[in-house]
Amino acid sequence: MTYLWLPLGLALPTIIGWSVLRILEGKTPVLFQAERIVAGLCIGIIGTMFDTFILHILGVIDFSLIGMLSVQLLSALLLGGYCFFKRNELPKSPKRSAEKLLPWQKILTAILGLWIAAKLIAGFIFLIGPPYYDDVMNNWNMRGKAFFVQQELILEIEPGKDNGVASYPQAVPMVKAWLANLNGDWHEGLVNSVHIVWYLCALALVFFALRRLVSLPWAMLGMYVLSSIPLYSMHGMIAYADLYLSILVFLSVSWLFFAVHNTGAVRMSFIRIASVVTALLVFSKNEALLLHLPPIVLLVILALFFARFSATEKKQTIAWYGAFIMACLIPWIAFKWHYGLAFGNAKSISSFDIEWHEGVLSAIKYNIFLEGNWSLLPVLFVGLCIAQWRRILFTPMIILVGFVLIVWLGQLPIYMFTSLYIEALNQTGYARGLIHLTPLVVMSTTLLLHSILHRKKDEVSV
Amino acid sequence: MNRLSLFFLGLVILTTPAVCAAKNMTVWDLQNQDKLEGWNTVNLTSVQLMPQGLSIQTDTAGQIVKVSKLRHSVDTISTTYTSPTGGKGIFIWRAPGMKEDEVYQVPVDFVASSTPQQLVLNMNKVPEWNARSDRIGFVLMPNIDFVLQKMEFSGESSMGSLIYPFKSFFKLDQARAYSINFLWGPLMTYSESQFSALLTEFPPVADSWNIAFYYILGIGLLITLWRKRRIGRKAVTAFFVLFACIWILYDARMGAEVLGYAHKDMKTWWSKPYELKDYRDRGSFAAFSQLVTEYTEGKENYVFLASHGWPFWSTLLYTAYPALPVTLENATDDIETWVVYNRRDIQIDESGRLTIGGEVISPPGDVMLNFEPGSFVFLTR
Repeated sequence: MTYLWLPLGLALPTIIGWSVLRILEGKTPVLFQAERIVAGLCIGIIGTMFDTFILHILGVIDFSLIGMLSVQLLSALLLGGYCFFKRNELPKSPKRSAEKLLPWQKILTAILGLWIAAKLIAGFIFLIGPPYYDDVMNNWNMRGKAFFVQQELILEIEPGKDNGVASYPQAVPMVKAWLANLNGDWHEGLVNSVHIVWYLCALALVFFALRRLVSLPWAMLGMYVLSSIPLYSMHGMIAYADLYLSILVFLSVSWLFFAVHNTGAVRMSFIRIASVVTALLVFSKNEALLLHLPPIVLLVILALFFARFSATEKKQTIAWYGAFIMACLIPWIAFKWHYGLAFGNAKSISSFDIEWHEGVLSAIKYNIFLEGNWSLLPVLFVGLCIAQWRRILFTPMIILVGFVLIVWLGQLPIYMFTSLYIEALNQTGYARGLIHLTPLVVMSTTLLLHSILHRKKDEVSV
Repeated sequence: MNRLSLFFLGLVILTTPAVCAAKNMTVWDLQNQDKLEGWNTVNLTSVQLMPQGLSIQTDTAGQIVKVSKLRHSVDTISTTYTSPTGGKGIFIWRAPGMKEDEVYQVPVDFVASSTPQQLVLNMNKVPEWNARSDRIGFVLMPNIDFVLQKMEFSGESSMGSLIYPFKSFFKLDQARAYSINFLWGPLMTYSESQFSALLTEFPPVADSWNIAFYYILGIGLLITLWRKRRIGRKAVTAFFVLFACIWILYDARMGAEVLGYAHKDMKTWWSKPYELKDYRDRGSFAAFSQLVTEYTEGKENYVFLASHGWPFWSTLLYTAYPALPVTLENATDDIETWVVYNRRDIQIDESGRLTIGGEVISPPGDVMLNFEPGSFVFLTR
């Protein structure tokens, strides 16, 4: 019974997220109907929590059931109502023609589907157990429980002790507080179960993104590849926020990719929905503000110059990104400054001394190529990038691969030269940076693989 | 036999010699050498390379070590030497992860004799021994006249070297605190001792199976490039079929590990009553921390004493929140609840007070929850 609160708790944020996306798509819907629901769930959660956060720090509401519910009900009524009344003016979502699978594809799909289902059940059992992992107890669930118990945003769990996690955005803990509010009690399984929903969303969103470009078997292949990345799966069954951030990063960058890949009204639809998710990134994890937002902005600027945007499209793109990013960034940064919260990853970036640290590259090499974290994805990705470098460099693929490389290469100096080197040597934090990129790497890999192996000329070749 | 079958057969034939040729003995021979390569000496009075070996004399204690790159299991180390004086020494090695100035050591005796002698060390009995040590050598005590002829490092038989890599591929890790950050993945061991110790000590003494897969894929890629001219696209397809097979095998291995995590949770946590519950590598603490909340509810603070801080402190802080733990140093008389975990040194005296080593640490009270020896909840009167 307790777990029934999960779908009920996610319903309103999903309606809100769906409505926001549908309104932004306007007369040119670009997302599949099901894709919009899944993406709406992911965006609706962070968007709703951001609104709740703003209203809370302004003193309008508290973190009680009534406070949180009122924000969601009001938003759902306004946005959902708008979509409802305008439903006749809004065109229907695009559809891909139904495809039949070959017999061997059906058998393989059934076997791998059952296998994924078995792993999901195991993952769920693993996820709902007592607290075990450090940042669950110190950060994500701890703060959620504190918000739920105190019915307000508190920065210090133990008075006088700042363990650094107060500087983290509150979206994920607030979702947990929201679910606990619905249940009326803190239930470990319930508040953790949202993580496996996010994992399923990640698989689905990669599928939908690929489906826009390739055939059904290829889209399913991409989804399977993501499901078989061991460390990514672990993050689907442990209550950390990195997988959720990876979804938001994926939506932000892949929608920018689709904007560059298309032209005209379709392009601008993608720009609008990409800009809103890009802006919300800052409220997910600290890394998003420092490591992900700047490269995305850089890629948007490069796209404006090199992707044949018309003058109007350029102005509109700047306006959408500028408006949404400022709307999220200004309140969040003002809040952090006001309370003197750090801008690094739990450690202040101003406290980093620049110094060469030996052994970091070796540890990184070990993590990427010799451990079981990523299966064989790194060699496949790198190999395909080398084999297909022209395709990457001279097509919109540069957006996907370029972002991955910028973020990955951008992280290396942080580990090589700052006191965060210990996170690479002890492998405590480094791999999580790659988790954020995994869906994008999988999408790029599948597309590159497709461009080598596909035969049908009627498919869109990226 | 079609081309695809031939392709796989070729791969098997090509990779088999590499696997079978896995060496089980390495010899560092110092006889008839022109140069002393890879050896470092410290504080030795005289070091001279002769046809018979490396001649060493010591007035004070000194050491000779070699930079080691052994890549197979080593159970036995045989050192052949002559020493007219005999004397005492220490066999030393620096295992992976040790600091520059740290070594493990085993004392040894060199027999006085003008004919070659063998010092045989059975390293199976030395748990700290690690064949991956990057420095291996001897410390020689003062006044030894010594000629080191050779050192032989022997490991498991070739058959063992063939079997254990495959056996260890399927040896699954448990859920651990590091599993959120990295997973060891499939590992390769070459002997029974390595296999038994696998995933019980960290970092594991094993090679990554990824290396084997990279070799197979590398060879497959070379064949693909070679065959591409003749059979064109089929060669590329065959290569990716090979890749897919390895990928699925990898997924099966890592997925089985996830199923193993859940199976263990079911077996040790979900299906057991509280008094028998164990949780991963935290033992009974998870169950204890949940039972404790009944006694901390409604309290502002409680005193928490445990055998060690991590991870007990943060777990209980979270589980019992909003009640907050305080240390013994910060305990005040108005705090009624004392939570003690795995502290058998804490006793209750005749007056009903908690004591450590005879020293009273609490006001009188009663045990409210007697969880297990050394673990209880105590409420002051």
